[in-house]
Amino acid sequence: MAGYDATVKILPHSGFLDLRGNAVVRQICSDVLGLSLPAAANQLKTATDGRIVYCISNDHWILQIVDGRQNDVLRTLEQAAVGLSHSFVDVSDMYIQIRLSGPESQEVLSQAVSIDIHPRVFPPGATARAGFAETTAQLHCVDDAPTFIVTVYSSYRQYAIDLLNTAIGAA
Amino acid sequence: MTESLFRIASAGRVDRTKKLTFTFNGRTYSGYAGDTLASALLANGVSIVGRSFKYHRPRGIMSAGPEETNAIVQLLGDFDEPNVVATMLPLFEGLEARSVNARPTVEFDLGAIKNLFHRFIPAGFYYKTFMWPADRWDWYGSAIRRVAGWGTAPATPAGGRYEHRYHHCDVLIVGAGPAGLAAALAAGRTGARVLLVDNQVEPGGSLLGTNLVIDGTAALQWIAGITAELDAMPDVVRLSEASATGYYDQNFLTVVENRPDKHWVRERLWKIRAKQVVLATGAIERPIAFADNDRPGVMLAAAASNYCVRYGVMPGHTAVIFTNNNGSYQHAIDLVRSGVAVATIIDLRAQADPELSAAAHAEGIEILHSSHISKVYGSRKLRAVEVVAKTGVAAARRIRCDLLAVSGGWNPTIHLFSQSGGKPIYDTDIASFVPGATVQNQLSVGACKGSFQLSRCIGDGLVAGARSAAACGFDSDDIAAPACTAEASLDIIPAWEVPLPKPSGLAFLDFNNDVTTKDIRLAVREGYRSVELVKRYTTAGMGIDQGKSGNVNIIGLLAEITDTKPGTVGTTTYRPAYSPISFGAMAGADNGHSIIPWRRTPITDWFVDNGGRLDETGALFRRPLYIAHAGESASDAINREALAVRNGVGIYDGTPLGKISVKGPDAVTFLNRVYTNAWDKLPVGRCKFGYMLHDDGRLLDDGVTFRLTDDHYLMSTGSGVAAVVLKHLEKLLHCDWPDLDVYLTPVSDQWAVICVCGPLARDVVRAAGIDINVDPESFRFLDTRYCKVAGIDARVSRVTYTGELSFEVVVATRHGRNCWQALLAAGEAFDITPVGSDTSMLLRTEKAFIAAGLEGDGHANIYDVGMGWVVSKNKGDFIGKRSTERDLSVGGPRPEVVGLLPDDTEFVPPKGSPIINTNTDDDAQKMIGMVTIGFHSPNLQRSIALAQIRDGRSRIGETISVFTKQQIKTAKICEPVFFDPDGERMRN
Repeated sequence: MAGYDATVKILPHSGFLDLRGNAVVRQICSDVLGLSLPAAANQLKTATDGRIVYCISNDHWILQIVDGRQNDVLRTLEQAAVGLSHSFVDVSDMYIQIRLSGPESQEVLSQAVSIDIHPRVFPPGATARAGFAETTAQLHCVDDAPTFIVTVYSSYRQYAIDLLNTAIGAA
Repeated sequence: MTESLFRIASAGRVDRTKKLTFTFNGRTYSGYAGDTLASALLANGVSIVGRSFKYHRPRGIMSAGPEETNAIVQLLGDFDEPNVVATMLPLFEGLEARSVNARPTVEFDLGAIKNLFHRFIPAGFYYKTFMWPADRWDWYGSAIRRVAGWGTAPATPAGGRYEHRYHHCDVLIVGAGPAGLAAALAAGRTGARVLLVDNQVEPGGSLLGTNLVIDGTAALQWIAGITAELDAMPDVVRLSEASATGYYDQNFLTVVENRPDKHWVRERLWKIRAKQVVLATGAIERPIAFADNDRPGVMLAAAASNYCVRYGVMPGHTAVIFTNNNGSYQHAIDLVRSGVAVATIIDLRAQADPELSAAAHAEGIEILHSSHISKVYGSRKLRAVEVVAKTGVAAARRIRCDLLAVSGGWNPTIHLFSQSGGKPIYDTDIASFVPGATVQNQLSVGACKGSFQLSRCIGDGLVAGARSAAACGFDSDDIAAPACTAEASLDIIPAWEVPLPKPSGLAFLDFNNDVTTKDIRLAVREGYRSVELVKRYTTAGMGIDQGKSGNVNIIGLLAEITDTKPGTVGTTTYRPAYSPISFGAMAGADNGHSIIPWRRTPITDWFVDNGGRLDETGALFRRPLYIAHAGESASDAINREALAVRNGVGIYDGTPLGKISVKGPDAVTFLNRVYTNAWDKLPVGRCKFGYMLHDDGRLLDDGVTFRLTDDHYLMSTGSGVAAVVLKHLEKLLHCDWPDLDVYLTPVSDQWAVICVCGPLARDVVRAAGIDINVDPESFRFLDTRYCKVAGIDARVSRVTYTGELSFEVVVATRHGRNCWQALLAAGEAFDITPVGSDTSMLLRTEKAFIAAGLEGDGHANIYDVGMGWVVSKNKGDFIGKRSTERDLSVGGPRPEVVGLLPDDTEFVPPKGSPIINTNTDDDAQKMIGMVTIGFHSPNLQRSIALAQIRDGRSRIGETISVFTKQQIKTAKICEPVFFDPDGERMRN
């Protein structure tokens, strides 16, 4: 059977920190990280060193760290936030990431997610936490190939891969 | 019969260079690309395509659209599928189909004998006939099902792929007829995201079957021009063979697309959210009820014309038109110009539009006004009709014909409008229902709004498209409406039925379910005057066609019989689906891997490779119930594993346990409020068991919470309730206690949890390499430490789920498999045994470790399950405290958890078995409880069970009876803890 022109690839392990706190904590984190934490949900900011911070809600962020230095970053953040109401938790093993790319990747992804991922609404740089078939995912459109990064809970790894491969028609 | 007798030379839109061969009822025929199965059958002179549902009367093709009620076929071969409407099925090479409802053949159907007894089986007869004997209904039901139905479900999986797709757009337009195309053009030119769906193979709708002129050129050229422009617009998506099947809240619509652009996809179910919807769904011609109006050769007038003009097929050679409106005159003229000899137009009205009458006369067509059909000759193929004057003064006249083209007017297709929540209203100008006020962001245009003139359809479509786009923020210049062929108004007089020549005749209103005019009268006589009740009593409108062509006639007739107006009778409720949907389309691409989102731990693959019998064990995790050796039974494997844990060492994957990080200066206050016990004195590096209650004092969850730092705790929850507990706690923090400075973070997937349990557990952990002192004095029961195990960063805790000495090793998920294998390797010298969740359940039963989901059944409180020791008497309020205390103060019998020792030591009381007090003198021995779990314990070498029994603790020592489906067994009530009651082994 032929399939859609898209490919699925599991990305190498990244570090993730779950950051919770108020506006003051957000500012402190932004200063420490050199990366402005977005104030509203479904926004992200990227840094030149590959770090990405996803805003889940107005007091909740997920920081992705690709160089393996999440423990150092966590320590630095904890020191900066001493005395403030906050919660920083290493969740590096909570998530796995899948790269879905190709000219028809939007057609593939739209089989699993109900939100609008048309390039007008979900262009490169857009992110959203959304239902992903029977589970939840953080979606990130990274380029106009288009390429989507689908971040899911690690226990759903095989489910997510099977689902996307089935959607492509390669399974 | 050869094709050439019915195929019109060089007419129609079929591709005569592409000849296609197909098989129908075992006979091979040919047609052309562009044909439907119906047009190809007509071209081959096939008159009988099916048998009717109830009376098994021979039926021919009646329409050219989705309203078809007779030509419903079973597709065979690779595309095996029932309920396929032949008028909507494009012909393809090798197509195989057969008629349904006919045994042994459609030409000679034994079921047709029922037609002889139709007087005895009117509507509702089965409600009365099959009432006795009452206990035989199952047999009747089975027999009725055998003779009912419209085909058979395929025995093998369908060929091809089905998929679902979500789609968002600014403007969704349903219908690509003149109004829909105009709307799409106007909306598309604004730059809005437009989705145009149409259930035909090509756009154009009714224009494809006419010879109308737009802007001085043939309508087909106008269609081609607009289609080309739409296809060039990057943000316009156009779907063909796509039927909008349902219209739901917030402009959510479903569309089933057949044979989409990807050749490997058979059907695609679109789930569409549109900011604005334009309904341009057209209208459906309706028949008139007269005696034997269902004979093969009787066809809707527009359909007859459509077959000639669009497909180049004559449905007959000599035609008679029977009508009550002006629309049929043009169809008669089109038939003549296609080569069909139209002898007569029989018009119920006293006069018609003068210009149309003149045009018909010019074509040599006779017109009989104020007349109607009284009789039809030819049961298997039409031979002639009999005409009488409405006044009855003139003698009946017989006219030879093989085609009777009928038009009783037009029903706007308001199904989707009605599903959107709108209420249809009756329009006397067209004698049918039209959309009333809209309730969603939606507009109806064209024939589905009752506007039948082409110029108005296009003009309204342009306005609706532009307005809809403007509502989404897209504006553009107005588009001038083109000039169109002038058309006369419908000028209809309502005609639901004409008099029958004799009382025994059958005049059909609902061809799909064989509902006649007499059935409607019978229903009213029996007291069913509401249209909804008439529908249910007679089954009118409940067939595959969902009353598309018949419903308005039924409503009109009901109004006449009950001496009211159709608008007062109203319509029945239109429900999705507009047309049949395959199970494949509903299921989509879900396969064995993705129907249920099974979760996996890092150790799942090891179990798969090593004999683990996987099953769901909460929160969609698949864990092994046991790990069987080759040739080993389930019970043998469980016994082996349980003995190993009690006498040696076992290893267990506890990863699915829920885990929640609780962090903040008020964390201890929070824990004090959500758990029944006190948490103030728990030091860092220790953990504690807690019980969490609902507001009503019933059990919610239990688990161990670890203090990691001064303000950071890690709470573990039951696997199956992790999400429930998190939601409960978040709600408390957000709504009830926003003053508490606490943050919760779910971390269940962050950690792999490996439990090494049994008397030799310490030896295994040491052998694996652990960099802390695990002596009993240094590492006590309920201690937790960060350390390295087998070189892997870990947190190890002295907690137990089996009642044995246990070490819970927690590592990052990505290291879980390595750590598991390192512990297995280290344990090899100690004969370490991997253990499944069934075994774990047995071990916890031996220890009476309460499971909130089993012993706590929604009624029991914490004292009932023997866990009162977890309730602190010296702390403040906690969730469920008041309700629990109220239970205590009210008193009375309580469902208390106790143990059971069956007298027959091999009898394992099944979970849920009722427990009866057989010691009472009362003849009506009462149920006093139930078994919550039972096992055969290899460690005790006998069967044991836990049970919830009314006032159970005061009954300890009594003998009760356990009822199962097969037997009644006695058992003695005992203390619930069967093994190591003082807990010495786990404390070690």
